[in-house]
Amino acid sequence: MTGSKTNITSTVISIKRDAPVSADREHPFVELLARSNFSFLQGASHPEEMVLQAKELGYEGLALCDLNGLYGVVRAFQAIEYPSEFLAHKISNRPFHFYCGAEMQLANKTSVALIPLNKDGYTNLCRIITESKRNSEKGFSNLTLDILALYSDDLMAFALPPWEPGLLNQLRDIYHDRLYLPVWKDYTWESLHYYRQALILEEQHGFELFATQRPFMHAAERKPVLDVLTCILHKCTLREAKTRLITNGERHLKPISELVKIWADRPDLLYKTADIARRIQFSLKELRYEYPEAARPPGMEADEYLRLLTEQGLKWRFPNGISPKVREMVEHELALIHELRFEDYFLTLWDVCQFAVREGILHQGRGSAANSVVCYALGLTAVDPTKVQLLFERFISKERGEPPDIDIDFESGRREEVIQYIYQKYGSEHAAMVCNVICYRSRMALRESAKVLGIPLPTIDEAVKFMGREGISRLESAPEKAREWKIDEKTFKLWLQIARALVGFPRHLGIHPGGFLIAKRPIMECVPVEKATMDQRYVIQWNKDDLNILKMLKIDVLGLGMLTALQKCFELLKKHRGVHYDLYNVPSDDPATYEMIGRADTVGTFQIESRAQMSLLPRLKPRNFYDLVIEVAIIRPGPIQGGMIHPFIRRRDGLEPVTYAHEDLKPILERTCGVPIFQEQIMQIASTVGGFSPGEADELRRIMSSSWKKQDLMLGLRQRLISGMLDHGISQQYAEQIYQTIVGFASYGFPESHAASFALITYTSCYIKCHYPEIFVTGLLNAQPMGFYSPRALIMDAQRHGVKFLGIDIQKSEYDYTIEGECVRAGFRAIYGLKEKHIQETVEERERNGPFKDLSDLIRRTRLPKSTLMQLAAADAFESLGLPPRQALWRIQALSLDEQSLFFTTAEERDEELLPVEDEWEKLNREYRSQGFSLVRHPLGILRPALERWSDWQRVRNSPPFTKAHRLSSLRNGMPVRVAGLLSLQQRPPTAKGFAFLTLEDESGLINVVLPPDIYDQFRLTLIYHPLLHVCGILEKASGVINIKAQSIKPLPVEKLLSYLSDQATSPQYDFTRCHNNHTVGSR
Amino acid sequence: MRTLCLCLQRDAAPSVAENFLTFSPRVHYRAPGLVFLDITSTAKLFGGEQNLMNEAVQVSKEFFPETVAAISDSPWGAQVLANEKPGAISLPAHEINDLSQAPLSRLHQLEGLIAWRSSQEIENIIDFFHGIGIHRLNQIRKFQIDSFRERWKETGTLVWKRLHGLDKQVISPLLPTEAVQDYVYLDFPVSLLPFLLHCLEQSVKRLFARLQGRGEYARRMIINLFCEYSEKVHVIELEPASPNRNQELFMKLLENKLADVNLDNPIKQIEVEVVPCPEKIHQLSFFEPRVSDREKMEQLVSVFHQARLTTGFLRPQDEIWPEDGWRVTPEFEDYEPIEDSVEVEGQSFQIRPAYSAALNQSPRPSRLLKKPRALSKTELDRLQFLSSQPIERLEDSWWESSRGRDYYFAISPKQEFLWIFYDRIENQYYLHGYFD
Repeated sequence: MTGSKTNITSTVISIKRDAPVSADREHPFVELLARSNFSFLQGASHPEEMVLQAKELGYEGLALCDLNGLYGVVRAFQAIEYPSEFLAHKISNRPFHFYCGAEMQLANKTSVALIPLNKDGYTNLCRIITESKRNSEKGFSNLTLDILALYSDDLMAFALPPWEPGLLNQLRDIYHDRLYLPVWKDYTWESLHYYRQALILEEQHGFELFATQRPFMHAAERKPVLDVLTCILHKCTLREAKTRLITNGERHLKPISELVKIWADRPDLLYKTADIARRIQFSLKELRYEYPEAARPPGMEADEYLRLLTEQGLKWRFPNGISPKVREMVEHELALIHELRFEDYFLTLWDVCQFAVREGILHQGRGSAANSVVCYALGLTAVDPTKVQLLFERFISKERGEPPDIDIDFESGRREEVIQYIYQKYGSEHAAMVCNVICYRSRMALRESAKVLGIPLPTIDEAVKFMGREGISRLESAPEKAREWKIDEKTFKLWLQIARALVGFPRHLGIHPGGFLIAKRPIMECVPVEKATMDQRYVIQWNKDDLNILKMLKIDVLGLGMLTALQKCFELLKKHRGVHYDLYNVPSDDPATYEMIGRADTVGTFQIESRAQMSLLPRLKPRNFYDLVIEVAIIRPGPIQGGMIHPFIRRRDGLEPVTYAHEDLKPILERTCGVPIFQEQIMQIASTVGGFSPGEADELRRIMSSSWKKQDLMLGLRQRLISGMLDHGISQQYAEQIYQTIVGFASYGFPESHAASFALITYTSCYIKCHYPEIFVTGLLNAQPMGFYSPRALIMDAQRHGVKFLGIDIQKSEYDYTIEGECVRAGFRAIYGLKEKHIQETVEERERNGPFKDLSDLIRRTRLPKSTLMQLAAADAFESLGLPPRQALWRIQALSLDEQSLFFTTAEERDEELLPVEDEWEKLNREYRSQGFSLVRHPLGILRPALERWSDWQRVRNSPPFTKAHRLSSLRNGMPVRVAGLLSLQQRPPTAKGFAFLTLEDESGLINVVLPPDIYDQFRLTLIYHPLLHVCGILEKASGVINIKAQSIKPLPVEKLLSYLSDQATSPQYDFTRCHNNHTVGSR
Repeated sequence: MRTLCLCLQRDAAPSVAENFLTFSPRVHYRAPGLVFLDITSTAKLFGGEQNLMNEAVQVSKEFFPETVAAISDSPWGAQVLANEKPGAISLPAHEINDLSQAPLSRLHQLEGLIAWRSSQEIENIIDFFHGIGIHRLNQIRKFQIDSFRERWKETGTLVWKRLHGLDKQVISPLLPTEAVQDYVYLDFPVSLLPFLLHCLEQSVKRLFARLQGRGEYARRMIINLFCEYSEKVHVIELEPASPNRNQELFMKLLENKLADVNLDNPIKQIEVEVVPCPEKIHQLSFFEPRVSDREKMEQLVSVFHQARLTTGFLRPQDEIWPEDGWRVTPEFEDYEPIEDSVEVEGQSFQIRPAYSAALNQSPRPSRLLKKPRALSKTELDRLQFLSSQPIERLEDSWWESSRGRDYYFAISPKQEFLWIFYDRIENQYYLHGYFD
């Protein structure tokens, strides 16, 4: 490190490639004790960097021994065994062996590195790690010699210094000739001291030694990163760290020529590493995953049973008979499933879904499973694959040999029941959740590196706020901020360099939202299992990408709020309207529903309720299910970044001809007007006109589905794609556009099958909203929290559709919202902070013994805590007991409620006459504080007379007056307008190039406001602190979409307006020039 | 009781109360920054309540420029008024009226000498009244005491009593006992003399204001200046010919002393201590026999100082650079080296390694040069290196400047056992020490 000026930018993840080195047969060397950043804060290079650097330096192999786990081994394994097709030209083909192991810390603070010699050894290693993690919190472990001894077979052990003779003898008793002592020379007195000690142990006691570099990083340039990680680990600054930091940057992979010099006194120790490595006969390739054997009738083979169930399902799905096309598809799929031995996988999923059916849990498969008729017949998906053109090979491919990926959404509120069923059915030994490696992203990297540099917390907050979503580059382009934040220029630069280097480093393990690994053999024979933060949850040490690489089955049990809402809607429809619907039998192709979608009346529906979706709907005007599939898929970063939206709409509306960059693209893009919208189309384009091999196309699919993109990988992909397309006679411009679409898809994009699955839920939600708005809003409100909109916005939208709401009433309400005739009765769940248990008990008591006579009767019968009574009083739930809110609050505050006592005292009605009368604004404030909405009044409705008066004053000054939401459609395009509203929704999608989108609401409807980047920057804080806004701008009307392009945003001067309302009688000439103070009301 | 309340608007040390002893012997400090003075009997000495308040505020503003004050019949009344109407004087028996229009949030300040047991309790009362549309103090005065007692027990009763002027608080005389000491942590370390003097001047000013209030002189002043980049401390002692409170004189003496101090290593913390003595009592002779061990020690140290010798204890330090590996401290300090830290949770543990903890076991020369000496090529050629590879390679402080050294053992022509390093940045060999 010190040989050159310290510069962390040079440490950014990349492999040093000064001069290619050929494999050194004369000096064979294997690094047997390497660490990666999966030693969590105790290693400074990615596993891939370690192995690729070792290969580049001419080593024969490298063993990755991260601390207490096998977290990073699959990544290193993949880098060697399945290198990226797009990086292949950069990686040499010389033979190289990757070995996996782990450095285990013992309770006496010494460590032993263990490497499996064969598959049994690997199983033992997994068991040791699992045992050490049993009952330990995240990052902790507990390992004793007894456990080491118990699972010592077929493991090789490296005892790390300091060496204590007693312990060494014990280890020798356990491992016999498989025990070695590693020695290294990193230019510290400590390493020399250990080396001398090891030589004595060798000479006097016959211990075998070998040379290592004990590398914590792949290159010396990473020393600053290691130091920063050390500080994070110790929660100290660099200045405070002192001897906690490593003495020098020598713990890295060195060229063999340098190693030969260093070990000139004992070259045998260097070469012995290759001999030791030759004893290792294990590779992760040997892991043979076995699907769990699904329950089936005795004497029936898996394929027979799957066929039986499929045939039964087909009769149910196609009651009018099975067409030859379907029959052909089924036979093709079953044959492929049988050939790849995936029957048990399908039967397992069928079993899980059957449980959901039995328990009445709504579910639906998403993703590529919708391409399969078998999945449709088994009830795993609800989309009829014969009605959409989907590729079964996208789901299962013989060439790929990977298990199919089936994600199933369950009702979010009941997903836990499904998880518990899986645990119960397969046992915690055979089923565990997949981990999610939490990596440093810009924000966390910036915060932690700032702490290490001793930058004060307020400055960090300010910088993070300034950085926003743009990431570190925004700070890099604003060096002048250093002075403003009182940080010297050098520290500022260093800060950003460190933060950038940290991005992508693993921080800790999280839990995947629903990924399960289910296996026939105990899971811990295959991968270590450890305790998750969540109680009673165990996770494996690998994430979903790792499982894919090793071709292991994962099923995703995901939660979807909309399924909960729909299930509640179906139940309400059955109970109150006598209609029996589910996802499969909602009337399809309903014109009224498509008409409603076409006018963007989609608040609360699934997937098409965002501002961007709603602004596209009047232009796209979906007319059938496939249009909806496109609508769902098109507003995603993939098509947006590829600039595909406007060409698609123009072509669809016949405003421009449908053309193809190449004739070969026609079959691929014909159904989407020549514009790529789905992930499959991109893959087909790459194969057809980009010349991608099946392997390359498959890697492209993985890149588009993975969350972490490596810069050099994307560069390689770009080069490959563009050169391939140019060779095929495609223009550079079109090739670039396709690449940009891929980049966008890599952020987020839908395969067609996934969009089709979602579109079905979208259609169902729209159908219910269109025909049963009161049922729809009740279902949605009972499934909260979910979706884009707050309960207030959903209620207001329903009210605009003629739904009548009744307030919360202690005599009539239930915990959930309920249907009373044609009206919706608000449920107690609307009240903030109320415990469901208390309310359920109260409702049960009311149903058991009749209505409550008065407050005392309620208290005596329910024993509700005082705080709950206060919350109910504030929500005006006691009106039917003859108690207005203020009187109720006054009385309850005086109650002495001792839960232990059988007697409750009630206070006298003293001083009640002193309570002031509640005015409209006060009522509104109380309701907003209590439940976040008001069923009878809107803040803008109350302020409207004052706004009207203000408008008169504006007219005199030739300024636009305030316009209500429902009047905007009658104004002409391009007019300056002024509106006031309550902020309902705020969005600033990363693909919007800095534009922000607000949805305001007033008493008459919603107002869409678009904020250009400069206006957003100028008024950002106003949006944070003020829910009631006053917006001036220009009206923009296009294709039925109405937006206001904001020019200024101010907080609405509520107190001034209120004081005008109260003074109206006495001072009609109120001076509105003073209306610019900041005031807030209610809560968001 | 007529009470002056000074709200300093910033956290202040309890000793700040001493500054106001000249206005009344009955002074009470309450955290975080409130001073109450019983001025019933002293107001006349200052020409009335207004004059006294003006002078007291002036004294306070020397250090707390945002001080606000008010006078009323009770400490809590004065506190509310100071916040609501700074500078107000409520006429005797008019307190209730003067507070009536104050907003309900002022209940937080209705506390005087004893802070509310829990500000959350008061917040709950305020929230409750806001919730039922009551926003001013006079509105809640109308309620009966039983209404308060039923709802908020003792706190409610106390609030009601204070609102009706029925809670009495008494300010007792203040007897100063705290050491006259001041400590400053500098957010931005100082390495320029004028800035340092400015910081010190503020400290001295604060201490002398206390001496003024206590009616005392400074006999001796001890200043400890703590450095930023090491644990080095500059100790400066000032002892004028006779005790006095002449700030200018002390600053002049200090400036002279500081002229000799090397400030390359910036100052991060300042500690100033004054040894006081009463203004009007004859000072003890320097030659009077000292009895305690501490006094004997101080006398001995004083003799060393006169001989321009530095005294202290050698304390090892956990630093990677050898020259920072120890320092001299005036007092004996325990040394616990940095080691791997082990966090234990139940049966499990997590080890956080201190990678260079073993550095304190590495051989270091018995005579380390204060400043490494560059070796010429001729000198280098005469040395016999004991190894071709470096014994140690040290790299640290990359965030400040790039430094890297390779250390070797070498034998000089005089058979001295030397510690040599090669500076990897400057490409230069240095002599750093001699082994015995």
